[in-house]
Amino acid sequence: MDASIDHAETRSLKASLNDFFYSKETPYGLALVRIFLPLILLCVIVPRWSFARELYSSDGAAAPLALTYQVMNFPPEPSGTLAVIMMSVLVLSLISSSAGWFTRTSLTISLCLYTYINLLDSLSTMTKYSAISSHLLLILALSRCGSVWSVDSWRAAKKLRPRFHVWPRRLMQLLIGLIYLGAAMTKLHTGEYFSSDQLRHWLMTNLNHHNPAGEILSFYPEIIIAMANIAILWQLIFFFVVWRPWARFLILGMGVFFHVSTTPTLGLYIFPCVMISSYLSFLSERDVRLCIVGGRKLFRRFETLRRVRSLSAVRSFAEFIGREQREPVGSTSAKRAAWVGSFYAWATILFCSAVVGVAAEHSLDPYKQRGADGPLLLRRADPRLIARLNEPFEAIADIDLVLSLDVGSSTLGGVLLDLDDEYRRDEPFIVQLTLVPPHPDMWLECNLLDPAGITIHRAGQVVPREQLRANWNYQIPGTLPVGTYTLELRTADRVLATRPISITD
Amino acid sequence: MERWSTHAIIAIYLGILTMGVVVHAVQFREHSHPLKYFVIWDMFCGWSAWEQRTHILGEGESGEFYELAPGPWGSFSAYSENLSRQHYDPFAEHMLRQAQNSLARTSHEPIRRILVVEESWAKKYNLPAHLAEKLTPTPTDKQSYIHIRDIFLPDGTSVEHRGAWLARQARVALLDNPRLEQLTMPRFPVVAMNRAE
Repeated sequence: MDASIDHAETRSLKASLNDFFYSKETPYGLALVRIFLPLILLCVIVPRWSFARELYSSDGAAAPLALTYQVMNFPPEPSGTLAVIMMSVLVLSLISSSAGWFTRTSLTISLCLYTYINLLDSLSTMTKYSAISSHLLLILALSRCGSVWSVDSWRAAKKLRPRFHVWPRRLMQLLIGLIYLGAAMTKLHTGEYFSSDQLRHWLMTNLNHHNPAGEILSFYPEIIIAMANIAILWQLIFFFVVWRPWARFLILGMGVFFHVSTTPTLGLYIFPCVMISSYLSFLSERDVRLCIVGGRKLFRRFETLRRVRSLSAVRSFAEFIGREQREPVGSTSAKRAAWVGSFYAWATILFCSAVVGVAAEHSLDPYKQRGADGPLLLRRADPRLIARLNEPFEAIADIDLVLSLDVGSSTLGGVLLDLDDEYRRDEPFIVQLTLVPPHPDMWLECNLLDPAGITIHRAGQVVPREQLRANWNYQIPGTLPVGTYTLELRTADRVLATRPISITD
Repeated sequence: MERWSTHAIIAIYLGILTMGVVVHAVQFREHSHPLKYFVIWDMFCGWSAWEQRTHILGEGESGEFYELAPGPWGSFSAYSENLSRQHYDPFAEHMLRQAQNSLARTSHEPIRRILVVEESWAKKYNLPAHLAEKLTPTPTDKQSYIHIRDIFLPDGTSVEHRGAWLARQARVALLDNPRLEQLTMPRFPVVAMNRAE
């Protein structure tokens, strides 16, 4: 009996796996990823095109990722002209991938060129979104995402709702889940992630685009700690929960919120776009059909939208998106001839893009070496910088080691929760100093000065080098007159920071 | 046959992805090959409290200093509004190449040395004044630290390697301890004078 149960369970697992990977559907979700991802990558590639010679070739200053791994000549660096050809073809292949014109071939070319080019420039091209994009392009190339909403499907004179195995979409979903699991591992390895120190300093950095919201958020470590814990919990459970119908939109909605919020807080643009476009792989055929039906209802309901829909171009597009079937046209030989013609057109455009790209780059003269006066002159360095080159190496000044001096009454995850500068007599409060690494072992005093500036309480402590926070617990005695007092943080030599505090009845 | 090919693709692909997550979780040979970059998801794995900029300078025979990165033809800002690519090289592995490219594409006097200079300041100075005041009500003026990290000859020969400013500061902070400083002093000769002993 046990054997029969085992057998039944095995069959059930097999059947579940079979359903999971091999059920059939029209690949609308992947078609959407195919449409959007190449457009996003174009935003990465096009601005770099005119710098191709400098960034990716042996005629410039390529910065291969492999060097960081102590591996030489991986991959081989192309010549300047070849790098321009690669970039030009990549631009066109991304466009044809998005349009779905010779989809699989275009995606394969995009995958190879995009990955190759990224490996050649670890400074200004290769990032983790590049690696994720390479995975997405690989899965799209393996899939039949060009069978719908594409030039290929428009050219094909046969059934327009083809159904294929769902495994490429599953691979993309599993990829996203494993990326989040890996990212959670990174966070678990970073102790300062949970104390807000890491994120707080990332929010203050100017290495990425402008991030004004991040600068403001850096003043609320308690929010950072809460969000950090939610984010890691979400990343850990994503892989296991996103398959549940009730949880899918909640989990994905949180993901969208999380990624979109990195734009104003961290100054990231491409990363959120890549991740959100990959989420489209979670849309099943049924979801897309529901969206199409919902869209049609919306059009019917609103007069303005009806008028927009009546425009011929919009009508044609809507029919293209929503159509069920199209009648086959032409004989087999005519279809073959059309295919060959289309292929020649596609290949010619790719070839021309390479030729035009090389000619355009040559006329742009990226290094400006063919000007009337010959090569450009080097710019003189900033004299203020040169004047400082002979400065002796000095330890960091104590004042620069202080990030903040705050007053509050309770802590969350080691940081002050409720900042305030007014306390009643006999009410306890905490003075918290936040330091930045690296700092030596320090002796620091946090003294209380009365309104006349006379020290009325001294409290010192050793702050070891591994510690980034120091707390002083205060309780103002009831005998102290009300007024504005000063908290003074100091070393033996100098005052590092002061903060006024009001004592009331 | 097609089904078995599909089985193989799924198994191999998921196996590689899982391997990436596992080696990252147990921190085993994470950096053994550049392709591991494609399976290890260590976004925002590090952090620093210091904002750093890198200046690549060329010292001419006349004593004049020139800016070698970005080149005079213009710079590409990848991830920010106005930061060129040398600022995104924390390990200073690609500085020399950028300098040599600028020298090869421009007109200039003979160059004696190439200097890689780090400029660092605490990130609190990035904040606008009205926000910085909230950190400590008595804000101080921005102070940056200048540190020559590497010196090369124009042909790429390394003349001096001083290491990263931050690593050196960490060492200084650690050695700010007389007992530890004394222990770091060599206690035995490098060359054994009497091998019989």
